[in-house]
Amino acid sequence: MKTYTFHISGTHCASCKILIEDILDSATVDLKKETIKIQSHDLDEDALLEKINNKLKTHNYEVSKEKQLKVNKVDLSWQAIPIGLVFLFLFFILQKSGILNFGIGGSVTPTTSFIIGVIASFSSCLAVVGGLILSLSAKVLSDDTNNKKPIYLFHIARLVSFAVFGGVLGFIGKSIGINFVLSSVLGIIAALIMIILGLNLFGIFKKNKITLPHGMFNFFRKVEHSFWAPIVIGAATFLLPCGFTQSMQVVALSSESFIKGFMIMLFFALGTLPVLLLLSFGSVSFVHSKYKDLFFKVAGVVVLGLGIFALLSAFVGLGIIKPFFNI
Amino acid sequence: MNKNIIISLIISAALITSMIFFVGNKSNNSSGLPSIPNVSVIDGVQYVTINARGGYSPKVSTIKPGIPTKLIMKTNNTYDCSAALSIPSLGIRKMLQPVGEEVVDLGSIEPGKKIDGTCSMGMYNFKIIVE
Repeated sequence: MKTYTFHISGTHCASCKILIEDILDSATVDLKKETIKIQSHDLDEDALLEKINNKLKTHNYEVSKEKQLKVNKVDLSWQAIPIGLVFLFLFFILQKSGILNFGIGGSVTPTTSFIIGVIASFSSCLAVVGGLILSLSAKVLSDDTNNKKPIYLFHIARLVSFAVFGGVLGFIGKSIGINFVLSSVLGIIAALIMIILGLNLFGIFKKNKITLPHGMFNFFRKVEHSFWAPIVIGAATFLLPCGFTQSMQVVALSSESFIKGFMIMLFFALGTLPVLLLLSFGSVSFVHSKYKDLFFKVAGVVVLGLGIFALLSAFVGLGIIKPFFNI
Repeated sequence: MNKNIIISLIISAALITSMIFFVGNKSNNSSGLPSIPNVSVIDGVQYVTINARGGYSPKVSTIKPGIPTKLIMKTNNTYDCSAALSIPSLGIRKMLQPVGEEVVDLGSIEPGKKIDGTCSMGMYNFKIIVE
């Protein structure tokens, strides 16, 4: 049994330590020194190196005997900030344009609720739900570019929860109301998640590489990679503040039938799906392109902006601050 | 400092300023006062009518103090946020039906008071000013 120490590159995130230590048995990663200690009894140094690199290649880490000189990369932040702001600007122009305000007459059928869903997916609801999806997709992908499972789980859970909750609302009928305060509080939580993930994606924390205690690390990683986290978050989007969702909940309530409520909310959620899928899988395709690093930073700026907007909106809705938006 | 950084900062500052101007409340005060009177007194009760769809109109209404006042929210295929009515200062939070009229009792309001109405997400708002 012999212990080798190698240099490792590509450890961009705090949870990389756990990931690498999971993949390789008996390895210890030091993020600050960017080194890895590993034990082996049968292989010599070169063979071991090759074996490790083969295992880590798909995760974009590289292990070497000599410390790799950092290629003096251009700091992408200065490109990312204006690009992100342009996206935010376009989003607000779309909101203010009034394009989304055309009326749909008649009673709400699955077809009209689908159309309302499509409109909703471009509306300011996108600031909350879309921002959340973009930040979570990017976060999951920044740890492991091939990990698409949480994204699928999120979208499936969202569709199912909309349909089932819609059915339940229809079944219960008018006796209950949807709690505004609860939805605002969830909105604040979502906004805070977006702000933290936005800063994280932009790389604010990266410079000081804050190393958390091992136990806490494990906890966060478990939450992030658990089977249930994307399902719970996906299902909870039903309760997030979004005027369109709330209107459709009222329609489902007044339908006074499980099937009608189920269909209305299901088709509404299906209507919102194309834009949301585009955000998720747009992220996936960017992550596999050469613009990966820029994408994470731009996503960070966009998510941070939307998070601040969502936070202020929730405060206005709760009456904590005076209305000052006028979109 | 690098030339790119300066360019980036200038573009960013310009974008942020225009965004604040754009979404800010002040940029839209021209459409403030209603062209058609929306306040009427019938049998000693003051009614304020506000349309809710893609925002609220009129944005500013002026009412008289000391009379029982009722707010009539009119919806016409309203599925957007403006259906989620919130008047935080009076503790009113109500989902409006997509089509119809909803009467909200405001009680009798003291002079000089301002009532801010908003939608649940806070991006649409209206104001009722008491003379």
